[in-house]
Amino acid sequence: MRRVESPLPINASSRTISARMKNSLIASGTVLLGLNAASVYFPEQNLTLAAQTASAAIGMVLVFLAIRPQPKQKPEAASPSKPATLPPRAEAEIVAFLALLQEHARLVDFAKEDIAAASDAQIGSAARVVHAGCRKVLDEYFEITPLQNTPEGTTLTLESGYDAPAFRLLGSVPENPPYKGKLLHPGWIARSVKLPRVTGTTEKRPWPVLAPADVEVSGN
Amino acid sequence: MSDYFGIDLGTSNCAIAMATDAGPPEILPITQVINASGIGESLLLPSSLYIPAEGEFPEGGPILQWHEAGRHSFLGTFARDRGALQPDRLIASAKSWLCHPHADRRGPILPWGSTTVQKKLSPLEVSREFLSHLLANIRAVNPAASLEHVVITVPASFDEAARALTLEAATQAGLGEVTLLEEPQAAFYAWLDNQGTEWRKQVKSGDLVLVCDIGGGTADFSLIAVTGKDGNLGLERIAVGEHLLLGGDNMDLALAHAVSEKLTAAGINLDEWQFLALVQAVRAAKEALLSNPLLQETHISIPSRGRKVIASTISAVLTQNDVQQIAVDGFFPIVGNNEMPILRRAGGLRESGLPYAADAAISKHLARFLARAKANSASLPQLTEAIGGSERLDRSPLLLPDAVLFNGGVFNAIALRQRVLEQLSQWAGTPIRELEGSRPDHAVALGAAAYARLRSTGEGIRIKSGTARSYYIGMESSAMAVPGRRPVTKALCVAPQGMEEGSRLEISGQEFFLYTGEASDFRFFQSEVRAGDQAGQMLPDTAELEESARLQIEIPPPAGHQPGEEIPVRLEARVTELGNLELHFLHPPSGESWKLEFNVRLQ
Repeated sequence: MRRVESPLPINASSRTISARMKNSLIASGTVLLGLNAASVYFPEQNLTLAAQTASAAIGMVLVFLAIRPQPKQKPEAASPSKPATLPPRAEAEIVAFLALLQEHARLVDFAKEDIAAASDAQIGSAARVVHAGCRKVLDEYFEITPLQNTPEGTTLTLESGYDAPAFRLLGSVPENPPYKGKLLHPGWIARSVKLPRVTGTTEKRPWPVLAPADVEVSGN
Repeated sequence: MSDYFGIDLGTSNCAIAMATDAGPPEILPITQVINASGIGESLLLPSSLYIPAEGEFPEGGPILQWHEAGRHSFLGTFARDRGALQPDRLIASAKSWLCHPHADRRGPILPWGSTTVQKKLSPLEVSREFLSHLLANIRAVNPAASLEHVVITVPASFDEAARALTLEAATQAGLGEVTLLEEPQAAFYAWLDNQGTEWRKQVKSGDLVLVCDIGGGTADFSLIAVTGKDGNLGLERIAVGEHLLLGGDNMDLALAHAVSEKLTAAGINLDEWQFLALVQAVRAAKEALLSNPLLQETHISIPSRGRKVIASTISAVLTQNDVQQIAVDGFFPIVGNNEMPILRRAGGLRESGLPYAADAAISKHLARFLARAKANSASLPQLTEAIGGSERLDRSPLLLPDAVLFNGGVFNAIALRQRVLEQLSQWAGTPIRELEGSRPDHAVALGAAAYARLRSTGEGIRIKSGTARSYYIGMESSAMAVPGRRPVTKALCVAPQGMEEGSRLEISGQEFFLYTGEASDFRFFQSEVRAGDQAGQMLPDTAELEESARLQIEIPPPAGHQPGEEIPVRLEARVTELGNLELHFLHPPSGESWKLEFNVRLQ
């Protein structure tokens, strides 16, 4: 049996997830989950296993990271009535992040394309483009590591006072810890985020275009 | 408390490292334009400069905080990515233009061959732009940073003119007086810094170390001798290679062409944009295959230009066999010690532009470097002694090292490191080892920062290295005129190889005549293989030398002399503290002197 490792990055208090990052995480997570859902819907498609699992896992964790309560936040700081609309700046950041995924991974093209008539081979081939690009963006702008460094299948004990938001309990869970169980998924955490800062937005165009229209110029 | 900065002004990427009085140097992230709508940080700044069309960003486009209005170019990630789509507006490999003897390095010639760009830049201006950007980053992190200890790296193959231009670009960028360091030496300093006192366990007196530095676009070789007695070891850089425009990008391009040909055979033709995507995909596939020899093949997907990513993506396969044949055997074939590279392409005319290596076989270029290093070492007794005596010279037609320090992204692939060691071991008939603990990606910047510190504090071992080449000035021989024959140009050695920083050498006992008040031709020559030549030595012709510059200069007549008059002068060569080579013409009667820098300009 192994002790649970602390899932938080060093100096967690100074690295709680900002609203801006949270929005990006929701966006990316949702898109990746959507991607994965598509592959589940077509179970016999030969999307590479790696692409499938990676997008599912990353999607889940990003959404999870974004929606989970902030561990170091004081209860009184967590106001129950958050404004329903996002400030325009945050929206601009989300669109910019989605634009990065489109630029490198053709993610918007992929999700918007009708795949009903496409062959498995075609989808598999396109998944490589999406996979390589998502991987590049994740590696370049995030430092993502597993939450738990123990292999799947390891038995864990969660003592009282464990970092609850970093775990999801499945099965028959008693009222109080310690919880003993098998690790099914070691989780992910973004230990650092360094997304590009949006520039050039105006009142007329509060966020960047997702993908500019490409025009091959042949002269004046 | 001082700050020490190392700047790697690379052919493909730039990096900055910073060190303080203690502790290992660290890489500073570089703020840059990432895409058309974002600014961000990256550890590397791609050495690409993109000049947009005037109508492309009517609102100015993405702006960095230190940019003034009216800026007309972008640097870094966005420049590289956007420039790939508009090659006519992209300046890449500007550094290689700095050491191109036949290019006008102060003239607006870049982007080379561009028909759309109205306001072109000179190679000097491009270097200045990159250095300004890097300085702005240093200032952004630390506005009060002292720039007293800044080291900029240059290829060992840079001649004095290219070095002087780099110094000039640094001054123009506001960096003040900086020190230059050869990149392979910087990699060696990074290794020394990383090893601490342990380095003495990996080398011993009498060893010869090859620094083999292959980046995206260039290959750069140097030999460093371990001299002195055990316990009191010294290091001396004894040979540098020629500027070789051959590197990892060539491998990616070769593999992409191979894949593209397979596709063409299957009836699928790629457009230019798809080919670019293919090159990117092939790079990743190559790395995967080289790092895992058990992997038989990797699938590659090439997206189309339009919106349909599923319906129009093209599939291809890169096999382990392709990579072994093209990247490993093509670029690092096992060759005999007498197999030298083809130096010029067949065909009489060459398209102007950068002089890319004509022969892709890096092993052959290595053989040529080691053969020339042998000739050079044999020409001077002190050098022969530095490499452990003449037995090493007798062993092989090549000057073979005992160990290799690898640098550059290409050598992240173990398979390629092993191949180079295999080749050297085969030439030597005995195993050649690799120095452990190299860091191929950031070593040059880190080593430059470590060198800046040790240069200032004096703590640590320095590599002894004077000028890597000997320099000559062309002299018209005073032979009798023969109709139909031009007088032979003799070459006077003005600066012997190995002149150290802060030294000066007068060519004593000889007077030369200088034409004044009229434009006259000056020709400059250099050699990497004539360590034995002394200052003042006259070579009967220039056959064995490489012409490095030719310029017309008009020297004003000193007071009391008429234009057109010949005046007697003495010659003195100086290497400044910064490593800049200068040639002075002294005219004692008038007290006047003229300084000719090897960049090459008269002041």
